[in-house]
Amino acid sequence: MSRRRWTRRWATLAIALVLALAWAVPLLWVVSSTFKPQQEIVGPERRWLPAGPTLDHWRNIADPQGRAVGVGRAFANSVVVALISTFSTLATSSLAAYAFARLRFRGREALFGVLLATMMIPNEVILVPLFLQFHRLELLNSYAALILPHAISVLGVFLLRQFMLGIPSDLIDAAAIDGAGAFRIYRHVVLPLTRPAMATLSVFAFLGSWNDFLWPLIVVNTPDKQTLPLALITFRSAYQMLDYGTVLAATLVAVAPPLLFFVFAQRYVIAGISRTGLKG
Amino acid sequence: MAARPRRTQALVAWLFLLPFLAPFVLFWAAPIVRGLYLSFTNASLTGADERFVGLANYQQLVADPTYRRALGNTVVFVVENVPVLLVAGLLLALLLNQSMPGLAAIRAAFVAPYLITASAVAIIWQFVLDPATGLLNDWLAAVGLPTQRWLSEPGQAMGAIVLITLWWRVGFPLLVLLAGLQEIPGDLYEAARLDGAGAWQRFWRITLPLLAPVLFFVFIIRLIDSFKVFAQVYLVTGGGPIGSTRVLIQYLYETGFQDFRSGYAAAIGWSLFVIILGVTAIQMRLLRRYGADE
Repeated sequence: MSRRRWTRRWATLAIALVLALAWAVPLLWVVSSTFKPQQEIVGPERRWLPAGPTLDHWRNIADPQGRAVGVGRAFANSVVVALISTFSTLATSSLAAYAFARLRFRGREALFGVLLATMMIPNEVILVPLFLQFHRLELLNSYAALILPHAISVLGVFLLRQFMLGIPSDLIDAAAIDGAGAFRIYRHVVLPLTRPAMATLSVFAFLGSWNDFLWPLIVVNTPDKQTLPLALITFRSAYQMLDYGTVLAATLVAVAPPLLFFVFAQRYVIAGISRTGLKG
Repeated sequence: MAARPRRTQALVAWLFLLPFLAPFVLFWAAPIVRGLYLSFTNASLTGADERFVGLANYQQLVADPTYRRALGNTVVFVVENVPVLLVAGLLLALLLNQSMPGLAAIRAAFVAPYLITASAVAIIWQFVLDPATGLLNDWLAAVGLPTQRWLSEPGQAMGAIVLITLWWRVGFPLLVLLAGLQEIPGDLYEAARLDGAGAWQRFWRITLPLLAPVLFFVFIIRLIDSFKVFAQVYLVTGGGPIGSTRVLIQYLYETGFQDFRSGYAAAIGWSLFVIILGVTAIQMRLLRRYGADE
C-alpha cells in the first residue's frame, strides 16, 4: 500500500514537471534567443542554446541608431503611464470607498447602484464614444489620454468598500471621539487596515495599464507616445524579417517588469488573483 | 462624528467622492450614454452631418454578412475556449492541490503567461507556430507526428488561437479553482475514505459539488472575457486567413477607426453587450434552478 502511494506521488510530480516545463518553454526560448545570432533562432541551424552567444540584439535595444522605434522611450512611457495610473486608482478608489462605507449622505445607495450597473458594461463598448470624448477635449495622442481611462476603477471602489465595511466600527468611533476628522480617520485608521485589499488592487491596476493594447492602439498616433505593447508591434513590422533577435529582446523588455514583480511578490499576486474569484 | 451636523458630513462625503466621480463621469458614464445615443445615429468621424436614424444601424447589423461572420467566429471561439480553459484549469488545480517538492515554482510556470501583454504573446506564438521553423512542429516531427500549417490554414487557425489563449490565460482558472479546492475541509475526505469511497467517488460526491459555485464564477468570467476576444487574434492572424478568425471587436475596431463609421461601430459595441447580458442572464437562471435543488 505505501509503495503504491509512493509510486503515485512520483508519477504526480513527473506529470506536473513535464506540464510546467511545456508552459515555461516559450518564455525560456525567448530569453535564450536574445543571445543567438539570427541563423540560430530560425532556419536549419536553429538550436536551444546559443552556440556563439552574442550581445548584438541587446546593443540594438540600448542604442537604436536611428531606428524608427526606441524601445527605451516606449519603456519610459509605459513606466510613467502605469505608475501614475496605479497610484491614482489606489487614491481615488480608497477615498470613494471610504465615503460609501463610512460616511452618510443623501443618495449614497442609489449612486453605488449606478456604479455597480456600469460595471457590467465591457470597456470595448465605449471605445468609440471615449475616443470622441478625448477628441473633443483635444487630448488625443497625449499621456493624459493614456492615463485617464486607467486612473479610476469601479471594481476597485467595490473591492475596497467591501473590505472597509469589515473594519470594526469601534476603532473608527474611538478615533472620532478623540476628535479626529474624516480625513484623519481615513488616513490613519482605515487606510492602514485596508492594506491587503490595496495590494490586490495595485496588482490589477498595474497589469491593466502596463499590458493594455487596444486603447493605446486607438489613441496614440506618433512613436514618441507609444507604450510597450504598441511599440512592440511597430517594432515587429519594422524588423521582423531582418532581426528576430532584437524583436525578441524588445519582447523580453515588455514582459520583464510584471514577471520580476511576480517573482518578488508571488504571494501578493497569487492572493490577488485567487481572492477576486472567491468573493464573488 | 454623530454630533456633527448632517450637512457637513454630506459635504465631506462628496469631497471624498469627487476625485473618483469626476473622471468616472467624464470617461465612463458619459461615454456610455453617448455611445448608446450614437448607435441610433449615422455619426461619422469624417465630420459629415449627424442624423438620428432610429434602429437602422441595428437592422443593418442583422443583415450585414461581415457582422454575421464575425459573430459566428466569436461564438466558435467562445464555445471552444471556455470549456478548454475550464477543464484544463480544473485538472491543473487538482494536480497542484497535492503536496510536492517545488510546488511554488511549478505553479509559477502556469501563472507567468497570465501576466504578460497580448503583443508579447502574439510575437512569441508566431515563432512557436511557424510551420517551417516553429518549436511545435519540431516537436511533432520529433515524435513522428505530421506537422501542421497552424495559422495559415483556415480550418486550423481558430484552433491555434484557442491553444494560444489556453497558454496565456489558464493561470486565472487555475488559481481561483485551487483556492476553492483549499477551502474544502479535509475531514470530509477523511470521513468518505473511512466509509470506503474511492478517489473517483470522492471527486464526484465531494469535490465537484463543493467547488460548483467557484466553477460557475470562473465560467461566467471566462464567458464574458471570451466574447470580448480581440488582441491575440488581431495580432497573430489579423483576422485571417480569409476572414476565418475575424471576431466582433475587430469588426468594431475596423468600422469605427478605419472606416470612421462611429454610429455603426457603436451599434456593434452595444449588440455585443446585449449578447453578453443575454447569455449571462440565461446562465444565472440555470444556476438559480440548479442551486434551488441543493
